Amino acid sequence: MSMEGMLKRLRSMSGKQLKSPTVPSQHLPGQRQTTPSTTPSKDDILSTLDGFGEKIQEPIPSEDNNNKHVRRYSAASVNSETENDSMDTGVCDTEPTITSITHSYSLEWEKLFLKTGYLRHLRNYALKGNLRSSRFRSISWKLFLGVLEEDTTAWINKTKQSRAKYKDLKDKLIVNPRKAVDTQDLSFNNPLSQEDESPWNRFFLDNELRLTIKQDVIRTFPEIEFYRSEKIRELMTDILLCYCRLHDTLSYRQGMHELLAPIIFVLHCDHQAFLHASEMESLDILDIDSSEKIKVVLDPKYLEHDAYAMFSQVMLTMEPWYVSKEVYPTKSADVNQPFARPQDMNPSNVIVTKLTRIQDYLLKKADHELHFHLEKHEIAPQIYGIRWIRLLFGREFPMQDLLVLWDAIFADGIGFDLVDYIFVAMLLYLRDHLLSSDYPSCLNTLMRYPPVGDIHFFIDKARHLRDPHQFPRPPLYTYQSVQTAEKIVKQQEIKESPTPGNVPQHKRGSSASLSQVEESMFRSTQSSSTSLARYETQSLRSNVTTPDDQVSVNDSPTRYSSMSSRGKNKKKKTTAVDSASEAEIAALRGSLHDKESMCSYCATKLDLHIDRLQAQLLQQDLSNEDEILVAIAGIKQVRDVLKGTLRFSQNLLDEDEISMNFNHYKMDVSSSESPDTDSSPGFSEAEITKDKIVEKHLFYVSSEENSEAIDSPSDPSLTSGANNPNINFKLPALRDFELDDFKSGRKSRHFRNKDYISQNRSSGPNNCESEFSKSWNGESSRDTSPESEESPNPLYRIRHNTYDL
Amino acid sequence: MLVLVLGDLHIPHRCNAVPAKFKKLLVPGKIQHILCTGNLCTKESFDYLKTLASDVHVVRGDFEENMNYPDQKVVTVGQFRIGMCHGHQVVPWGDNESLAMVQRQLDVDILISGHTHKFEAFEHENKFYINPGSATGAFNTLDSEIIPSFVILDIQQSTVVAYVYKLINDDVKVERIEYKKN
Repeated sequence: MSMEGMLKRLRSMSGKQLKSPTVPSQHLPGQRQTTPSTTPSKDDILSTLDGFGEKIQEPIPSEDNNNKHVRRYSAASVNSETENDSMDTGVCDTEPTITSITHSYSLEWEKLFLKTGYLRHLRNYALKGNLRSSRFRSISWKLFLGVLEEDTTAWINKTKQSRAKYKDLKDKLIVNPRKAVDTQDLSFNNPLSQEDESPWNRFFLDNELRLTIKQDVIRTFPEIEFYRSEKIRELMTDILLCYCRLHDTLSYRQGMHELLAPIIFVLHCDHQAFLHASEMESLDILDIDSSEKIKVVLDPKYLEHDAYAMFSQVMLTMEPWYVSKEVYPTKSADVNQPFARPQDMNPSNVIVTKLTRIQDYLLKKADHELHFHLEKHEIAPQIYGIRWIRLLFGREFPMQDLLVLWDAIFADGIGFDLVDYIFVAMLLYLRDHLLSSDYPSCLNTLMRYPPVGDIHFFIDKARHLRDPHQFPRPPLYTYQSVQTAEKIVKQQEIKESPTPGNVPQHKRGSSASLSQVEESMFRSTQSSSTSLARYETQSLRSNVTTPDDQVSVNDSPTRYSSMSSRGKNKKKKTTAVDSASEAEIAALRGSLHDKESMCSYCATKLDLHIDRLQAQLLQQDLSNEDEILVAIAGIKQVRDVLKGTLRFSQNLLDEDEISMNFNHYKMDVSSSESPDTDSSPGFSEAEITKDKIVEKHLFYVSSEENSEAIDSPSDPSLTSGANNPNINFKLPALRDFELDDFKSGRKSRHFRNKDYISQNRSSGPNNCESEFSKSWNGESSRDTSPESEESPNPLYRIRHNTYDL
Repeated sequence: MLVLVLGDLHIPHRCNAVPAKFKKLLVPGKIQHILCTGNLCTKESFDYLKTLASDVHVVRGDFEENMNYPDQKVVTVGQFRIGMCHGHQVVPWGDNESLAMVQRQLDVDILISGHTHKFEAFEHENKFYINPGSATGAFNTLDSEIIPSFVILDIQQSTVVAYVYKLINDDVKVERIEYKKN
C-alpha cells in the first residue's frame, strides 16, 4: 500500500496545521505574519505527493496521536459553537486513549454522521475549515452537493442508483462502432457515413472531442504525481466526454478538467483511507449498518462513477459560468452606447454579468478606493476573474488549501454563493499592493495570485462580507505590510496599532514600488503632460491644503506623478462629474500613500549621500570648511524632516535655514522670471489662468529641485545657496509669466539666455556651476554660446538669478 | 484503423473524375492510409488522394504517367502484411491461382490487385484477396459497363472488416466482409 504512507503524511501534516484557524481570533496583525510558516506551502504538499510511490514507514502511534490532537481541537471548536454543546464531548474527551488510537476512523465516522441533524453541524464544520484532515471529505462533499441525501438510510440505494446511471450513460454515449455491428443498417453503419445517427460518424466526432479533452487532461496539475498516471487520465477523459456528450449545447470548455481533478483526488484519498482503516482497525466498533454504508459508499471500484456524479452536480451550478457567447449568439449587437465598457456591452454573457456585479457592486461596497483604482486603470474583472471563477480558484491556491476552500464553498450551499465574496476577499487581500501598482503590475499580480498563508482568512472574510452582522470581521490579513495595515485600521476603525516589528518590512515593500513612482514622476515632469493633468493638479492642491505640514511640504512630486496617470481618464471624468469629488479623494488617498513612502525613500537616500559627502570632506582640507559643515548640518535637518523624526512646523519657526531649503527656489522662480516673460509676445491668453499656472510652476520647480537634491547632494552651490543669508524671500507682486512653455517661448528665451550668460560671468562663486550647465547644453550648440538652446533643467537658470539678488 | 483501397482511376483518359457521391464520402480525418492499385495516370489524381490522407502508397499500372512507382509493394498495417500489385503483369488477369503465386512471393496476409475493374474479395487458402475495382468506373479492355467501387478496410488487431462501396444506379451501396487472421 504505497498510498498509505502518503496519506499518513498528509494527515499528520495537516493535523499540525489545524491549529492555525484558532490563531487569527486572538492575535494582532503583526504576529499574524508568522503564521504562514506553519500552514502548508505548495512545496509541502508537493513533497508529500512525491512520496506517493515510496513506502513510508511511520510509526502508527505518532500518526494517531496527530489525529487525536486534531479531534481534540475540532471537538473544542465545535463545542464553542452555541448549539453544538453536547455533540461529541463524550466521544472525544472521555474516550480512553487506547480506543481512540485503534478506532479513530470509526470514531470520526460516528462524530460526523451519526447524530441527528448532523448535516447542519457538518456544514459549520466545513466552513470553519475543519475538514482539512477528514477522511470523509468525499462523503461530506456528496452531502453538500446533493449527491447523497441527509437521510443516511437511503445512501446505499442512492449510491447504487447513481452508479448504474453513469454506467448506462457511458455505454450509451461512448460508442464503439465495431461493437454495434449487427444492430444497424449498413448504409448508416459504415465508416464513411455522414448521417447523424451513424455510430461511425458519432465515433469520429467523439474522437475529435476526446482529443481536445485529452490535451487538457494531460496538463492537469502537472506538478502532482497523482494526475500523471495513465489510468487517471483515461478516467478523467471518459467522465468529461460523458458530461459533454450529455450537454451538447455547452460541450467541453477548458477549465472543466480542473474542476474534476480535485474531486477525483478527494475520492481517491478517501478510498485509500478507507482501505487503510479496514486493514488497521476493525470496523466492528460501528454497527453493521454503518460499516456496510462505508463499504458501499467508499468502494474504490466506483471512483469514476462517483466522480461523475459529483462533477455533474458541481457543473449544474457552474454551467452558466462556462457558457460563452458562441453558444447563445447575441442578436442585439451594435447598440454601442458611447461610454459603455466592454463588460456592459454583452449582457447575455452570464460570467461577465457576474463579474461585473462583483466588481461594481460587491467590491465597491466593500472597498471604494480599490474599486476606483481598478476602474481607473481599466482593469476589467473578466481579464483575471473568469479563470478564478470558472476553476473555482483552482489555479490560485495550492491543492490542500483549495480543498479547504471548496469545503466551504460546497458547504455554504449548492448555489456557490460564497464564490462572489471570496472573490472580493481575494481582491481585498491584495488591496494595498494593487493600490500602489500601475496597470501592468496590477494585472501581473492578479493573473499570478501571490502565495497565501492562511486560506481561512478568505472564508471568514467572505462570510463577513456577505453578512457583516452575523459573522465577525476577521482580523486583518493582507498581502503587504504596514502602511497598508495602518490604513485599513484607520478605515475600518479598528483600534489595534501595528506592532513596531513590522516597520522594516514596510520599508522594503515601499522602496520596491517607489522606483516606479519616481520613474513615472520624472518622465511626466519632462514631458510636462497635458493641460488636464495641470488642471487636476490645481484642484487637487486645493484639496490637499491640510493642516498636516509634513504632508504639504513634500507631497508635490508624487502627487504630480499620480496625476499623469489620471490624465488618461478624462473620458470617465467628464461622464461622471458627480463622482469626481469622491474619485479625487480616493486618488488623494492613494497619492498620500505614495508620498509617504517617497519621503522615507528620500530620507534614506539623503542619508546615504550625506555620509559619503562627509567622508570626502574629512579627507580634504578646505578653507571654508565651516560653511560646508553648516550646510551639511542643514541637509541633515532636512533629512530628519523627511523622515518625520523632526516636526516640520517647529523648524520653520525657529530656523530660517531649513525653511529656505523648501521655499527659496519657489519664490525665486517668480521673481527672476517675471521680466523675461513680460517681453514675450505669445502669452496673452495665458494671463487668464496665470495664478494657477504660477502655483503649478512653483511645485514643478520644486520637484526638479527635489530630484536634484537626491541625485547630487554634493553640489556645492546647492549647499551654499541654502545658507546664503541674502536670499530674497518676498514674492513679487507681479506674476504674469509663463515658465515652462518651451515650445512657444523660444524668442523670449533667447533674451533670457543672454541675460543669464552675462550674469554668469559676473557671478564669481558660481563658476563651476555655469560650466556644468554649459556642458549640458553643449551637445545642441557647438558654437560655444548656449544661446540657441535652453537648458532643460530650469534650476540652473533660477539659481544664478538668485545669487545676483 | 481505416485504410482506403482504390485504383484504376484512368483520369483523364477514360473518365473525367471520381463520382461526386464518392467524393462526398471521402473526407479527410477519417482515413489513416491509402493503398492504390495504380493507373492513377496523372499527378493530379495522386494529389487528390494526398488530400484525404497523408500516407499514400501507389504501385505502377500500365498507363502511368509517373513511371517511378514500384511494380509491387508490401505495407504493414497493424498485424497485417498487405501486398499490392496492379495486376496487368499477372496472367491470366485476375486469376486466383496466379494471384496466389504473387501472394506467396510477397509472403503477405492480404493481397490487393486491380486492373480488371471489377470488385472482388475472397479468401483463398486462408489468405485474403481484394480487388477494389475502378473508383471512377472506367472501362476496361474487355468491358464497358463497369460499376464504380472502392474498399475501406477497418483493421483491428487480427480482424479485418472490408466495407465495399459501390455506385449502383447513382446510389451508394455498402457491403461488409469480415476476415480473421489465424
